[in-house]
Amino acid sequence: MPEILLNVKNLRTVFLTSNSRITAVDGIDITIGKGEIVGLLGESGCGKTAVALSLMKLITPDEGAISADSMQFKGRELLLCSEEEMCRIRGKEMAIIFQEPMAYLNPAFTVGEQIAEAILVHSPMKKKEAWEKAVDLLKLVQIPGAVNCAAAFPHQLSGGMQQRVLIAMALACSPELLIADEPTTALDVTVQARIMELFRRLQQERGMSVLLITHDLALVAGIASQVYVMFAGMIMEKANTREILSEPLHPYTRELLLSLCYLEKQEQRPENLKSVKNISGIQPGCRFHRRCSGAMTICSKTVPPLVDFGRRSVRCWLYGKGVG
Amino acid sequence: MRILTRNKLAFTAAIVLLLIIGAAVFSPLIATHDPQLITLKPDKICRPPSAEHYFGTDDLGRDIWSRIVYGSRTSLVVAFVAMFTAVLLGTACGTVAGYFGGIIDVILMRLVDIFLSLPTVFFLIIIAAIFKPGSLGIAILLGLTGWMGIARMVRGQVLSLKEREFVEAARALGYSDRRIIFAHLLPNVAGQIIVHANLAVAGAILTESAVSFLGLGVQPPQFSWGTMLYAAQDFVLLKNAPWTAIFPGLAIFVTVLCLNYIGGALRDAWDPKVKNSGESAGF
Amino acid sequence: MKKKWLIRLVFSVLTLLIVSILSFMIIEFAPGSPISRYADNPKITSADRERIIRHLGLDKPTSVRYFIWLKNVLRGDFGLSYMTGRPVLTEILARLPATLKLMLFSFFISVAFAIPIGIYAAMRRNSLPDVLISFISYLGISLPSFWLGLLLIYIFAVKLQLLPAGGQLTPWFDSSAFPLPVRPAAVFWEHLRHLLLPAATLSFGNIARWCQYLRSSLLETINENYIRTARAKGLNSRTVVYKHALRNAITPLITVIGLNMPAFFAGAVITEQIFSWPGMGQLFITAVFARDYQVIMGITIITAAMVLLGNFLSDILYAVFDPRVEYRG
Repeated sequence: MPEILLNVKNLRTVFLTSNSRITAVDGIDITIGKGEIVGLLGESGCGKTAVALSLMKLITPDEGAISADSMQFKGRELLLCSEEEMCRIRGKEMAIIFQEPMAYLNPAFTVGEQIAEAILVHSPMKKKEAWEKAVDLLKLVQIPGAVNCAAAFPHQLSGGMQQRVLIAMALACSPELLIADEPTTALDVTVQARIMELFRRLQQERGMSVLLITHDLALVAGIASQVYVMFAGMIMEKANTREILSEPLHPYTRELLLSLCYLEKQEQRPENLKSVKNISGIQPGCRFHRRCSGAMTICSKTVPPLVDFGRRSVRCWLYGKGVG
Repeated sequence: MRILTRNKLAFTAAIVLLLIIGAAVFSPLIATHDPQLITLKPDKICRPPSAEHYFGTDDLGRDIWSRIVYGSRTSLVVAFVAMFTAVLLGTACGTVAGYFGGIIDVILMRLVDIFLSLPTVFFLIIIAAIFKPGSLGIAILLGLTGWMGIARMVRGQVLSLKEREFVEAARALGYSDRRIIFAHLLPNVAGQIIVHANLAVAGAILTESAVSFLGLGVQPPQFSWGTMLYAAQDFVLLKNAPWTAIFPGLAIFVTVLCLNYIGGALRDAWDPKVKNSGESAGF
Repeated sequence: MKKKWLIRLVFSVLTLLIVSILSFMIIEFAPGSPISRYADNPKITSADRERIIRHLGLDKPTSVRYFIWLKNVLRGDFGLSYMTGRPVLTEILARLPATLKLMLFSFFISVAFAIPIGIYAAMRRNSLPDVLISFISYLGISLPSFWLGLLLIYIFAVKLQLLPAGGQLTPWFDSSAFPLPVRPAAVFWEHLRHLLLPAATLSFGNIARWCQYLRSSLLETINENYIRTARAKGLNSRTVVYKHALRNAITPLITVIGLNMPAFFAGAVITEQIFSWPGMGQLFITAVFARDYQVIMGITIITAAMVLLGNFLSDILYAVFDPRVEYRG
């Protein structure tokens, strides 16, 4: 068992909108070891991104609030960290890659400026030096013509290039934990493979941990050692990758595995966009029971507990009924 | 009405505005003196506010309170006619541009752009001075200077409504353009038009009184609040009888403030953009 | 990109042409012809009148006369002022510096106040100061500038006697009366104290409008995703707001300021009138009352040109602040 880098207990994230509260993350536990790649698997709208934002305490009071029993990062309690302390952690020890790269790049600055800024926040150096490092980072993420790219504005780049720019920015200060939220959705398969290769290399060379958040089981299967399967704000199953692939316990995990077998069907993942809004906190019972082929009476009445089987755990009434 | 009560200040503004409109409608009942009665006696000229003359008297011995009450008629009628002109023109132009699109849209919107960069108030002043169009003419001219914003807004709305299912359905059923526009498009833009109409009235009151203040707008014997200020800008008069300037200006200010506040509250309530701005949680 | 600027230029010229045609038509249709002033003169025979008409080119069709007039205007010849007999351009150029001084000063005051106030209000959204600023802004937007001007004169010139009620300089002001070391300061103060009231009159509404606009634009920008990226880098909230958010929030404000230009010029006319400011606006009103058509046309066209120049500058500034602009239609 490697040294524990991040240990989160009972994380809850609530978003406030003008007329309602949405519980996007409903009490999840996540543990990431040093130098470990962990997958967080779930369809869009299940609260994956909310987890990512919560871990970095990037949710503003206007948007919502997070609560947890504990959020230990490198032995420090993040919940007790002031905004100032978080600023020192963000980008340096813990970095994030967002999906939808266009929206996450500032249209008014060149790509190089934005990467160099990420370097300069944490390690004071000459601007020119930072710029050169930025170009190096762009080369690292396989951008052709990195020098020209650094001088370009985000809108002048393709979606794939923008995505890689965001990856470069996240890697700028060699973070110990990289939270990658759908980092390769905008990329074609070959580049995707290279980026995954890069993650693995950084993991091996620098001992970087990665929380890989994605809807793509195949991606997780290729790289992660542990997998968390999330549905509607809750963890449904947690196991190591081999076990998930060979012996999925939760019906939802099985469904995901099944859809992997029909790659072409991925385009039409069932009820993909039915987001947490429709599901969470409104109906009693298992979050998945409406889509579950093996749903029982109890499934619609009570939320099953996350039952621990030592190395793996699952949240389903099929296993360990009534056990606390 | 619920929208209005939600914002207490806007509600107060609405009541004040109703009082002002009431004063215009029932001027003879509310005025204490004949607004045109000139009394050139030393004890009647430039008297400060008193129980006899609530707002004092001007340099010709006229009762300022009564003149403000009667002046509201001109100011409001001119402003409302201007607003109707602007709304009519703006809605027509915006609807046609948005609905028919293509080259018509390009031409009309360029026209709007050109109008927006014209110093329209200069033309207003010139025409008012040379042709002496009377207060109705000035009202229509005011409308001609203030329709562009409405045209842009209506066009934007129509463009987005045009793609909606109910319009597509109406078109598939073979409804005429006219029926689609009047029965399906415009009712959906009505809220926004009311917001703009509100602000247009405020703008028209301000511009009319500015032009009248220069002595070029509403001409005697007719008078608006702006006309009353025209006389009051004389330095000696301002020095000796500041109430001749304070009260007519206050009337303009309060009316415009109420209109702007109501317009702002309606916009906050109806503008989907403002409503959504808090909802981008980003997941 | 070049094409875009070319289109803008073409439309600017087109707008100016429309302004000139409108002005020409207004004056063409104005009651009383230019020769009516000779009508009462018994010494002028009908032959003389024919000659004058031919001399002034009045026998030619309107369109021909328009083009002749336009040709002269392009050469900088706006004709002679009816009031003074001097060339219109000379008259206008004599008044232009005063107007520019007032307008530029007011413009900088407006921007210098509106931007910090707007940022402050946005940062402390829904706090008491924000609500107060919003309320004062409503007052500012609703306040008739001419009334504000009169009130300011009454308070500062009549009651407190702190500042002059009008004019650009005190007629008897003599800088040589001051000892040399303080002379520049004295001259500066003399100019400034005359500027303060008119500039305040002209700026108040602008400040109110622009600060509220910046406030809402800033609040919208802060919800953008790239702000989250900036925070995720570990930037402190000051840098996030002042560098990443403000840069993007200020671009729409530039457009709004550009669109405000015609109103700004109109406001200047009124302000000059209230404060007897010897600028172009005051000349315009005088000319309108005197029916000095050549001067009226000259000022209208020059104002229109200046408004278009202002729009053009705001476009350029917009392109500087928002690099995406070159890719938009």
